[in-house]
Amino acid sequence: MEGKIFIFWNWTVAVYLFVAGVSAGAFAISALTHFLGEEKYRDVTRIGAYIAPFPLLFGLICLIADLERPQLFWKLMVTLQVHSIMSLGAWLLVVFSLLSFVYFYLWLPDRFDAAELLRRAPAGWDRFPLFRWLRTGPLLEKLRRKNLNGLRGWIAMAGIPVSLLVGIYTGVLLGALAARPFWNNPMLPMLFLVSALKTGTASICLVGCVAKGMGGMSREQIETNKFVIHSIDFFLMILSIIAVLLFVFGLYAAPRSSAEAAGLIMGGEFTFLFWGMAVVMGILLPLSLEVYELIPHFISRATMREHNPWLSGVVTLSVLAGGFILRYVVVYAGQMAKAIAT
Amino acid sequence: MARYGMVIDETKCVGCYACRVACQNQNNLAEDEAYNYLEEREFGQFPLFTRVFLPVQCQHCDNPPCVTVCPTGASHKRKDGIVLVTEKDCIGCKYCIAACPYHVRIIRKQGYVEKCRFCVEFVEEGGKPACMTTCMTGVRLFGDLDDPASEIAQYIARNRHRLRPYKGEMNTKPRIFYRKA
Ligand code: SF4
Ligand code: SF4
Repeated sequence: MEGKIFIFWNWTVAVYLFVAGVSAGAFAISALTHFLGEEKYRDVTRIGAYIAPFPLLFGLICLIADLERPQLFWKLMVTLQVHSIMSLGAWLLVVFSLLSFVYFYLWLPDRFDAAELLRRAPAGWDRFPLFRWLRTGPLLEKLRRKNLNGLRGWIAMAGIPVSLLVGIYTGVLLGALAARPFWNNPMLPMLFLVSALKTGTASICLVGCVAKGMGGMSREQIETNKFVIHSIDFFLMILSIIAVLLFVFGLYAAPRSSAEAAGLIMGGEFTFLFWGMAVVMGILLPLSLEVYELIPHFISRATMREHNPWLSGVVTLSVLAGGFILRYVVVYAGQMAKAIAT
Repeated sequence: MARYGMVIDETKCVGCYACRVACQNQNNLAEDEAYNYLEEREFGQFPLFTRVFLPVQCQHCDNPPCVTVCPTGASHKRKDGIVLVTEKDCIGCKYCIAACPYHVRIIRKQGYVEKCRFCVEFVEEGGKPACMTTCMTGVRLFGDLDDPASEIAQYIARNRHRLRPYKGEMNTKPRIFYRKA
C-alpha cells in the first residue's frame, strides 16, 4: 500500500460528511425561517429544529467507527491542535451539537416545560442542594414558556454562524490538503456548504410531507410553508449549479491540480455518478420540478398548484440522494487522484 | 542540536529492494507492510529505453503537512528534525495519510499509523539507518546537515547543483535530497 493509491477512508466518511451537512442545513434554514416570519413559517422552523441534532449524532458514530482505534477517540477531546482542521472541527461539532440540542428542546411542545417537569419530580430529590436550587432558583423562570420566543431567537442567532461553519468545515477538512489535487480546490467548501443547506431544506420538506402528514394543516398553511421552503430551495439550486461548474473549473485551473484529477469526473470512473447522479438527479431534476410548481405563482401570481405529495417526495429524495452521492464521489475521487510527481 | 538529513543518489539504485527488507526487519514489519518503496519510471521507447528507480520514504519534511493536520498531536517533529508518530496518541483517523504527498504512511496492523523513523534508536547512538547501511551500491547518505565535517554536509556542498527535493512544489521542504538521473 505504500507508494500506491489506496482507499483509506471509505463510505462511512462520505456518510458523515453528508449527515453533518443535513444537520447544519436543517438548523440554518430553521433559524432563517424563524427570523423571516416567526408565526407564518412556524412549521418549517419547528421541523428544522426537530431534525437538526440527530443526523449529526449518527454521523459522529460513523466517524468514530471509521477510526482505526475507535476506543481512543476521546483523545480528540482532550486537546486542541489549532493548526489541525480536524481538531478544530471536532470542537466546532461539540458547540453545534450543544446549540442544536438546546434549540431542539426549546421547540418541544409545552408539556416539556422545564419547570413543569421538575415540579413533577419526586419530593425526595429536594435533599440535593443543586436540585433544590434548580427548582426554586431564577434560572428556570427564564426558561418559562412565555419567554421562549426570545430565547429561541438568541439560540437561532448564535446557531446560524455555527451551522454555516459546520457546512464549510466539511469541505475545508478535505480542501486543506495540498497533496490531494481533487480536494485541494477552493470551491469545494462552497460546494459542500450549498449542498448542506440544500439537503437540510430537503430533509425539512421530507419530514414535513411524510412524517407529519398534511392531515392537520389547512391548505393555506401548506401553501405558505411550502412556498417558503421551495423558494429557498430554488435559490440554493441555482447557487449549487454555479458551485459545481466553478468546482470543475477549479480542477482545471488550480495550480496543483492534475489532468488525472479532473479526468476522474470528466470521462473517468466517476463521470456518471458525478454528472448523472449528483448533478442531474440531485440538482437539475428537482430544480425543474420546483420550477413547475413555482412558476405559475411567480409569473402570473396565480394560486399555487394543488399540493402533490409525490412531487415533493421526488424532489426531496433526489436532493438527498444527490447530496450523498456528491460526498461519495468527492471522498473517493480525492483519494485516487495523486499529486503531480516531479 | 543536530539536524538530520539524507541524500539519495537515484542514479546508483539498481532496484534490488534490499533496503525495503532491511527496514522491514528493523521495524518488525509484516511482509506486506513497508516504510519505503521504489518508484519505477520508464523513459523512451525500445531500443532507446531506460528505467530508473526512485527510492521513496518519509522525507522528514521541515514543513510537514502530516504534523500540521494531526488532530491529537501524535505526529510530531523532533528538534533534530526527525518526524515521528507517538503510537499511544494515534487514534487512526488517517488524516495524515491524506495529507502526505509522498504516500509513505501506512496503517499498522495494530491500528496506528507509522512511517520511516530514520531508525531513530540507531541514530541516537550515533549509528545510521538500516536502509543506508544495507545498500550494496551506497545509494543513501545519512548524517548531520549542520556539522560541516560530516560526510553528508560535504557531499551536499560539492553537489549542490545536482540535488533536488522530490515534489518540491508541494512546499514541504523535505530533508531528503535527491540526486536525479
Ligand atoms: S514525507 Fe510525508 S510523512 Fe514524512 S514528514 Fe513529509 S509529509 Fe510527513
Ligand atoms: S492517523 Fe494518527 S498520526 Fe495520523 S493524523 Fe490521525 S492521529 Fe495523527
